Amino acid sequence: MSTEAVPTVGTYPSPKDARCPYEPPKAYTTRLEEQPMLRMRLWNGDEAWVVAGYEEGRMLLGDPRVSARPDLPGYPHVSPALAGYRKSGLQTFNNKDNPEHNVERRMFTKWFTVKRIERLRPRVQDLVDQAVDRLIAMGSPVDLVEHFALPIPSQVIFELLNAPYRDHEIVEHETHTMLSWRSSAEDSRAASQRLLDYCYGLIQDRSEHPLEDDVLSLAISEHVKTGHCTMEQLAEGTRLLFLAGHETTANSIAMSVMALIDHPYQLAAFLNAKDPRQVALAVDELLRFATIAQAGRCRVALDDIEVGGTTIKAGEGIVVSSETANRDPRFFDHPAELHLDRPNAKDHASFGHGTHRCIGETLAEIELQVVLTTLFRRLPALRVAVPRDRLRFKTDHTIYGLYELPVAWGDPK
Amino acid sequence: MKFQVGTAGELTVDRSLCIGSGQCVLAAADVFDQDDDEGLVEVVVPEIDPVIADDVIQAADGCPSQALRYLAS
Repeated sequence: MSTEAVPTVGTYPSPKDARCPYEPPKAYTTRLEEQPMLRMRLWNGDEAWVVAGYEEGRMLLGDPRVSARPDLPGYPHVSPALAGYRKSGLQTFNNKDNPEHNVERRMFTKWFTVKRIERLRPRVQDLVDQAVDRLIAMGSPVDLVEHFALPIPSQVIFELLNAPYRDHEIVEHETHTMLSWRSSAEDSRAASQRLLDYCYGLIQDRSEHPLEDDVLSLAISEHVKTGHCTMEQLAEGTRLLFLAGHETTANSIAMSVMALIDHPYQLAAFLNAKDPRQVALAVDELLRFATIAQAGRCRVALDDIEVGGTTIKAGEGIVVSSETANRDPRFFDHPAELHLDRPNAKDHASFGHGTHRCIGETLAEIELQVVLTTLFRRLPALRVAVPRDRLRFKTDHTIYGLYELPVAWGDPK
Repeated sequence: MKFQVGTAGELTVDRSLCIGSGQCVLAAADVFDQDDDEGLVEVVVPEIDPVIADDVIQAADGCPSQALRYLAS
């Protein structure tokens, strides 16, 4: 099938249906089984392949003939803000191909192993306990996003990087500007530069005053001083960890809390779960059901690639959608339903696939496991405190979620 | 590196492709670990018991970066 024969079917990103806050835009999913690959128009008039199907997306993300480099012609820039910082030349390893990608990612891999992240669980539990104490002290109603969902992952990533938490507002502000689709390309680029400057200051300081058993100090001694990476690459990688450590987990927490409130019988079963594997599976299902990665993973084909009955030609843009992969009925039975014991929930597409799969996935999972079990055990009567039509969803942002989630509760435990 | 899984198949491990996602550890903790220096995959048993071949296959299928490949014999 040649590209010329495929008409575009709307604009990417398309609007969500406000009545279905957990569902991806219908424009991508109405004919997913027959049409897992859509040709869509972007805001700037470019066209790209929007990959809606689960297997098709997984195949492409794992294919070395697919590049993540925004500087290549044909790369799909899906919003002015993303174009703003991706075109700026300030690239982190998630926008590079191998072998460069692996060299830079390895500055951080040893800190995100399953056993090392598992060792952080007690500290995450402390932070969550303190956050629930603060909520109870404030009294209901309270905005769960501002006072709970955002501060917890923010504290965790600041502690992981041994960065002073007093700087959290700088990082949160720049991160939001970089990722909001309302930001102009110029504002997004400038925010990206300021966050990079902040990270550069942090590693400069660590270079002069190294700490023991510290992510940045060891990245400097083991990767920069040995000549494998530069200070600039370390600063860019650090910026990525801040960026990815904030909005993603925070919005997953808010959406998962709402999803559990919306499914009281499953919430009761979740709270009775004795086996940690049940809790882990439930979190996987929530990551699938309430997907927050709504911007799609942007790539460009380096060669002609056959996938899903279509030929993607070399130089064509590809946007792999996690939110639609998570709704692929060929892979997930009744995908629009939440089933916390879904057997293949752990195969959800929310962390991506291929060499760029999310480095922080185990950390995010542990945060969600601790947050959800602790919050609902201590505040079992947690409910949304405003009518649903008053909730503001982040439909204008790289990361979907909620701007606020006002909640109330009865007697705490 | 290649590892025989009894007579059931053969596992190939290529650390140069590993991104340290740990999916293999979650699928087959008795077989795989991540080293302290780089956080990359290592096989911690001298030989893989074919009784857990299914877990090893799951680990290879779940590997995001094709650092693990399983070939049934």
